Formats: sequence, structure tokens, C-alpha cells
Amino acid sequence: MENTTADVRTGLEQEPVFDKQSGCLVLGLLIFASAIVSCSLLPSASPLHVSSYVVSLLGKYLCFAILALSIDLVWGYLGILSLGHGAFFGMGGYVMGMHLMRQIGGQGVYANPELPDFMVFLNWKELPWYWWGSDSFVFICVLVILVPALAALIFGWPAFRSRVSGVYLSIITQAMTFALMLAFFRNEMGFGGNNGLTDFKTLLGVSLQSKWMIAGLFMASALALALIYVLCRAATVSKLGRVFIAVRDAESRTRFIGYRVEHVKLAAFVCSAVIAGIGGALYVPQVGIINPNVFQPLFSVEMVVCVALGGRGRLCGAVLGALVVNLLKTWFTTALPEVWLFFLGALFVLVTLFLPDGLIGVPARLRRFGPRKGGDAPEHPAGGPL
Amino acid sequence: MTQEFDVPEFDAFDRRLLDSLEDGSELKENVRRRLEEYHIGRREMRPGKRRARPPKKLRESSGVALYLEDISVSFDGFQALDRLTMYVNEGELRCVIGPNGAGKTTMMDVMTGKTRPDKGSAWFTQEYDLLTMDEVDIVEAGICRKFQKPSIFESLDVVRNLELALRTDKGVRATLLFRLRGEDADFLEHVLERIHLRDQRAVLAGQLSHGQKQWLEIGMLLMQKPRLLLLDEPVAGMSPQEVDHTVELLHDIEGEQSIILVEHDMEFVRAVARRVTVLHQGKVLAEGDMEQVRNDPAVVTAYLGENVAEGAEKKSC
Repeated sequence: MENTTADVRTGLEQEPVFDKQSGCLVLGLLIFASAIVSCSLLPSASPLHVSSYVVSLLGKYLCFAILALSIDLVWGYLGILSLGHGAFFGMGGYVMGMHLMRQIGGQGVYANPELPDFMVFLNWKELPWYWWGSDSFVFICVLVILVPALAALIFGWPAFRSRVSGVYLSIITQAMTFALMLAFFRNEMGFGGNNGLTDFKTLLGVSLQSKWMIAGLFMASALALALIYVLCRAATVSKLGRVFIAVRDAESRTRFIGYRVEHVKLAAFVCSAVIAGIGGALYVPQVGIINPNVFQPLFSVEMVVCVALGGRGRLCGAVLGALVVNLLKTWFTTALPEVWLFFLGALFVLVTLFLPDGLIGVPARLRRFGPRKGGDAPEHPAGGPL
Repeated sequence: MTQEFDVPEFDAFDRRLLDSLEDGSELKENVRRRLEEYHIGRREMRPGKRRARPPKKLRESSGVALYLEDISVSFDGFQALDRLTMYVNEGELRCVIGPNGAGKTTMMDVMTGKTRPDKGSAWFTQEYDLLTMDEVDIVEAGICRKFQKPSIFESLDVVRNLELALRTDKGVRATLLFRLRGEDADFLEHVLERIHLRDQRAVLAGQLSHGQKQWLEIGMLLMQKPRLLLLDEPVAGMSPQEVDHTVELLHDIEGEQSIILVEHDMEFVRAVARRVTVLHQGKVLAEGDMEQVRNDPAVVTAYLGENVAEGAEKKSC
């Protein structure tokens, strides 16, 4: 009790993890997901039925929202603009894809129980070492976390240690994802070359086409998004979250009050990569394919635009941005495919110019303009303790 | 013969040395005690610290907080510091003045690990060899620096700024799990009082006036319970009243830790300084109290420019 009174006295009480916005988001997400799942399981004659196509489409958006969250964590809070986060998403995706390939087994075109089709096609006689263990689901789940984490560690440690930051770091991240794309296009890499991994049949013995599996994957994505959101939120309201902001606003000051900035950055970057990897792993079974296009810089940049649109430095904003942009994208790419990129670019410019807080900041902006119209004079901080 | 030693770090050499001495002799006991002291001393040293012992001069003088000797720094041929030597005692408030480009800020950079000198030695008390430590080690050792331009976290409020600076474990995990406890909260309150920002506690730091920002930054340094404060132009851009308050603040904290102050404002220096060091072209030009320094002809020349010197020469001709 004593502690709480002391905290109230100094105005330093921790911000709650579930404030109004986060509460709404998590609750809304869970209710929405349950509703969609229930509707998708109704018989197709029912007027409330939701088709499998729509469910996997929504599931895909949720995976993008997870990726957007991971970008917001490093960009919005720490100021590390990564233009290559799609790489970590892709790594998670490829790992899951490997498992799904192995699940095909004898059902493939060449009916080789051991080797995926593309390896048979390439005349490979046995699995390369990095495919070992990919038939075990548990092992794959571990790899989904380990591979992006390790990659982020290997990439991040030298970069942060030598204090590369700002636009230089962004360029390096982009180069990284581009290099991965080129590497994965090669057949000799053993990841299916430019066709990628596809033709998946089952996961955990259940057909990927069955409505139960589709509903299950969708629900898993929703739960993962909710859980990751809550964890990120808990981290950002802690003192560590304020250190993130401190690093973003005044890196050298943060170092000179005794924080090892490179450790903070690395920890956040690795966590962010893991989150992106989880997003990718959930994405692949829902869309049924993973190919090197996921490593395209354009994809990563598009996700960054999502975060900027939604409002960076607010986790809710990232989720909102990812959902809105991808809904628009789905509509545009069917209705006006050639306009999409122009539209996205224009949207980005407009939001940056007129809504620096992004979509999530719109209500607060309206509120601010509402009551004090003429009184724009800034409050003068009292000129000292006189 | 095997002998039980109190210190596990004794190596083969130590053992052989001890074995060679006569059992129970006074000499053996003395040698053993010295060896133990040496090893225990090493054990307490943190990895950042150099194994070497502090320079002789420093070992022989007590109460020296900061010891800079023969420090030279050059940037692309420009000699920023030229064999700079300076000692600051514990609890002393030392002002460093000098014209632009005299090397004041570079000197602070050397002390805080931002710049590595080409040669020389820099020690903080007898324990820490500053030239082997990085910025964070130096902060942990107790040297805290206020930058020339107020550098605070503008999008956090005043108390959050102070909380971040609090002296505590600053590792990633400890920071994630950190909760402000009663005692630390009291200390924060105390610092808030000292820097006169009690009523602005919930104001975003970016909205403070320039002077208040400077105080907040000093407050952030105090939160780290420093042993040596480096203040780079703390009253630049302050109104006269704000300067008065800063003088008050400095007198208030003086004596608790050593302070090195770099300043251009002569009125302010006169108000706070006991001892003044004048830097010029990377060297110490004069040292003493304000009056001595002011009357030093070399200082007058350096400060008022060559015109005066030339003028004086012409007159004398």
C-alpha cells in the first residue's frame, strides 16, 4: 500500500496495459474472430455463412497486422526504420513452408515420400541438411522462432555495435532483404527457386482446404495477434518502453545516462524479427504458397507504409494501418490493378502531410481542434519558480 | 609443501615465491599479505578497468578526483588538445574557460569516452582508468555530463525524464521489470525540488522553457548520484533570473561531488567559481582564482585577441 501512495505522489504510476484503446482492440479482435469462425462453420446455405475464401483472406490480413506490429516496435518506438522486415516474415514463412512440403509426402506429383517435388525434379537424391527435422511440427515451431531471431542477431549486432543508424541502417536492411531474394531465386538454394514452396496438402494431418483447418488457422492468427499485441503493449508501457522512446529522441543522451543503447536496440530488433517470423509462419498455410517475392523490398516498404498510415509509435495504429491498407489493396488489385501503387503512394504522401499521427490519431486531432478554436496560443510554461 | 591460501587467485608464480621464503618468517607474512591485497584489489576491479596501476603522481596525492595528464587529441591535423594536464580535487567546483576552439568540449569528450586521445592518461580517482572504459562504464563509475545543447527526452514528461536517469541496474531485463520503489521515489521528489520543477512534473519536457530544460538536465545528472559532474555551458541562453537560480542550484549541490564547469558567461563564472582554469589552443594557459586569472597577461592576450596585444606592442614601440 505504501508503494502505491508513493507512486501516486510522484505521478509515476505505470500506464495500464489495457487502456481504453488496447482493451477495445483486443476485445474487438477476439469477438470479431469468434464471430467469423462461427459463421464460417455454418452450412453454406445459411445467409450468415462466410466463405472459406473470405476467412483465409481475413487471416492473411491478420498476419500482415502481426508484421506491422513488429515494424512499429522497432520503428515507432526505437526509431530504427527497417525496410527489410519482410525478410524475417519470409524466413518464418519458409520454415513453415518446409514443413508443409514434407507433409505432402507421397501425394506429390512424383510421389516421392521423402523428397519434395522440386528436389526430385532437380535430380537430388537426398534431403539437404537444412531440411532435416522439418517433418516434425514441434521442431518447426522452434525454428520459426529461432531462424529469424538468429538472423536478426547476426545482422543487428555488428550494425548496432558500430552505431550504424538512420538512413544508412534502412539501406542496409533493404540490401539484406534484396540479397535474400536473389539467393532464394536460385534453385541450388534448395527452397524451390522462383516457384517457391507450394502445393501444400495437409497440416497436422488435416487438409488445408477443410473449413475446420481454415477456421482454425484464422483463429490462431487472431489469437497470436492479440497475444503479441498485449506483450508489445506491456513492454512499451514499462520503463523499457520509455527507454525505447529515449533512444529514438536522443540516443547519445540515453547512452550518457548509462543505458547500453546497442543492447536495447538489439533486444528489440530480435524480438521484432521473431514476431515477424511468427506472422510469416501463420501466413503461409493460409495463402498456400511462399516464394522469393516475399523478400522483395517493395513488400517490406509497403508494410512500413501501413504502419505510417495507421500511426507509428502506437501499436494500435500499426494494426489498423495493416488492415486498412490490405483491404484497400485487395479491392484495388481486383478493380483497378494498375492504379494501386499510385494510390498507395498518394495516400502515403497525404497522410504524412496532413495526419502525422496517422489514422489512429484522427479522433484526438478532431478533439483538439474542437473546443479551443481561437485559443491557439501555446501555454507559457511558468518562467521559473519565482 | 602445500599451504592453504585465503585467496584463490594465487598463481604458480605466487606460490613459488611464497614457498621459497622461510615458513613463519615476518618477510613471508608481509609478502603474503601484499599478494593477497593485490589479488583482492584486482577482484574488485570491474572488467573495464585497466590492470595497470595509476600513475605515480596520482598514487602519491590523495583526494584527486580527476587526473588528466599529457592528453593530446588531434583531428585531421588540427591539434584540439595539446598535452593538456589538469587535476581536480574531490568536492571541488572548477570552472574551465577559454575562447572558442580552445578544446573545452574535446576535453569533456575525452573524460566521457566519446573521444579517445592520441596519447596521455586520464584517471578518475585511483580506481578508474578512463581511457579503457566506454561511455556507459564511465557513467556507472560516476561521471555524468550535461551537454552544451540541452539534451533531454522531449516527448516524455519531467518525472519520466528523471526516472530514466535514476541510478539503478540499466540492463534490458532489469529495465523491463523496473518499478519505482518508495525510496527512489523520495529521491526523485528531492531532486525535483532542487531543480525547481515541482510544479512542472507532469509537463512534457519539450514544452519547458530553455532554462527549465537546462535544470531538468542537471536534475537528470543528480538522479545518477554522480561523483563528478561535467557541465557544458549550463547557463547559455538563460535569462538573468534563471542564471541566479542556477548559481543557487550549483551552490546547493557543491561539495557533494566534484563539478567541472565549462562556461562563457564571465559573470556566472565569477559567481560560482573558486578556481578557474583557462584553456587556449588545447593547453592550460593559466590556473588560479578569478582575480589571478583575469590579471594574467597571457589570458588577456588570448581572450581579447591579438589586436590588443599588437596594439600594446605598438604602444610600447
